[in-house]
Amino acid sequence: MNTAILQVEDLYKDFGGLRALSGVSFTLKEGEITALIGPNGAGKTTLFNCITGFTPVTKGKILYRGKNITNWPPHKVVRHGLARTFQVVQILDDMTVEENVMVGAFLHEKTVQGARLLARKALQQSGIDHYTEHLAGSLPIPAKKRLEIAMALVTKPTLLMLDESMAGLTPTEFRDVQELILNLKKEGVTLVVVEHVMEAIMPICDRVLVLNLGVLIAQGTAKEVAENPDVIKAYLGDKYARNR
Amino acid sequence: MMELVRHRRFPTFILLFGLFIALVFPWVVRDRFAQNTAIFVLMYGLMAQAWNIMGGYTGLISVGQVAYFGIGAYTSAFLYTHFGINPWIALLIGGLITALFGVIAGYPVSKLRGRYFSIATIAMAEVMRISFSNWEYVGAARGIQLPIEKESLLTFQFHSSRLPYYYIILFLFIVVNLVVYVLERSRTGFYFRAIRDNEEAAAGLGINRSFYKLLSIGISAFFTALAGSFLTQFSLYVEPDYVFASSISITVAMVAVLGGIGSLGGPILGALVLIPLSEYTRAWLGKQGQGLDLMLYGALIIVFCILEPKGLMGLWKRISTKKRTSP
Repeated sequence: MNTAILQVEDLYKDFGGLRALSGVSFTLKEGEITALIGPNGAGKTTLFNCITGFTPVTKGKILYRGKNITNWPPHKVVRHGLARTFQVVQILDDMTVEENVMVGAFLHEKTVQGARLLARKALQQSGIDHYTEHLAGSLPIPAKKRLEIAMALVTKPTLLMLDESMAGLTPTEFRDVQELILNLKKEGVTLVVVEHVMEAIMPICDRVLVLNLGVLIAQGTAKEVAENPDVIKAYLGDKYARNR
Repeated sequence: MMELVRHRRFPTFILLFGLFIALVFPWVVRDRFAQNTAIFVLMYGLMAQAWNIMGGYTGLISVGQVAYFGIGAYTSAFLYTHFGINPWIALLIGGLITALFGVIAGYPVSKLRGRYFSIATIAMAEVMRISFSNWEYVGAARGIQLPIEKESLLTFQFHSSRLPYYYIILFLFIVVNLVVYVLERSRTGFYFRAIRDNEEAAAGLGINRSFYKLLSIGISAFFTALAGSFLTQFSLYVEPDYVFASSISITVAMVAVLGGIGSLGGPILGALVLIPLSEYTRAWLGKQGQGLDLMLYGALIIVFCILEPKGLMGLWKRISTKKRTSP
């Protein structure tokens, strides 16, 4: 049986008077792909930010491999093997594609030459090695998304959190990302994927978590979640849920 | 359009040739004004390169660099006059104390970003100027006068010739450039540039932003303080309005920006162009008392910034790229 890699316990996040997350609890199992879905404003990115230390938690606990990482700074979280991508791509615009990845490679390799080798491997794995010497800021959006994945991969994560990495991609492009995600799973990486493109994520995920207005309203397999009335109500409204 | 990057750094032979010129300059040009100007070129070049570590590589745009300059100047003057500490040791202690000050004062300031950080540095420099102006223990507004000693390398005083001062500041200038050269090619240099480009992405790659920002400020403050200590020995006095003058901060930032920030060659080129321009326009037009020198100086900077916003290094990169691609 898979062991728990991440446990989120009764997590709350308030922005002034606005409660963005309310008592969210779940456990992620090692080696699984988990989809985190929910309508716009459900709190998915806030949850990512809280787990990875970019936003301080109001209340609750986050355990990574049994260690309490609540409110750890982001760099410390990454150094412990938890990497992420961002909803709005965050790359180093004025550095080359290779240099972007090298920055992350320095976590495991102290020399410039060694970091360069690791970076090239990650670029190859993400399928953007042909852009090595290009300025990152000048890449098209799909390539920027792949670069962000390469930057996360080079930190050698055990848990990788992808925030809408397939948004805006063509069907061919998101099939490539699907393949990449499945390959990572084979290599033993646990993945959490926030995605709006359901046909891209549902076929490859082991489990689905559904957030709505900061509350975790359902979790289970893709089939279980798709039939859950609360989920249907959150996505399509009360009327549609009653008519089923 | 996607941009392919090929690094255009100064070829080593140009750097070596420049070093050779710098070494023989005071023997070829005997004019005292020209030698003084050369000393200021090197001093501002040293400070602009120190500024470049913070502003150019780490993205911490300081407009209050004079705080470090003044503290360095005062520390060495104070240690020399009150405790009789050798000026060379005082120079080093001044650098270290200023670096420590930079880190302590920089801790809350480094949390700020962009223009807010810049405004905070102006405030920090003004607080220093006002504090030193009212601090009796260090001479308040009168400042500190250094006693005239026998001319020697040990006393850091040379009355008959400017040459030793020239070579001392040249040495410090070379040291700061070597440090930047090594930084540029190191993991720390990559981390500085990552923080400059995108703090969130940098943190997501495992970079401790606070630590590397403070490291950058500390290194920058250390070298700026060395320039301040040098000026103390060069002019043999310090006073708040002289060593905490906001015009110094602005000149330092302008030298780096005009030369091209975030590159080793930028501050060197900037100092080579801007300081002689400032000194010679002042000498030729300043005596008319109508600010003509400043007008001309300002107009030239505006024209240059419009024509070449990436600074002299941008111009150099364009020329060298054209040269390589032309048949």
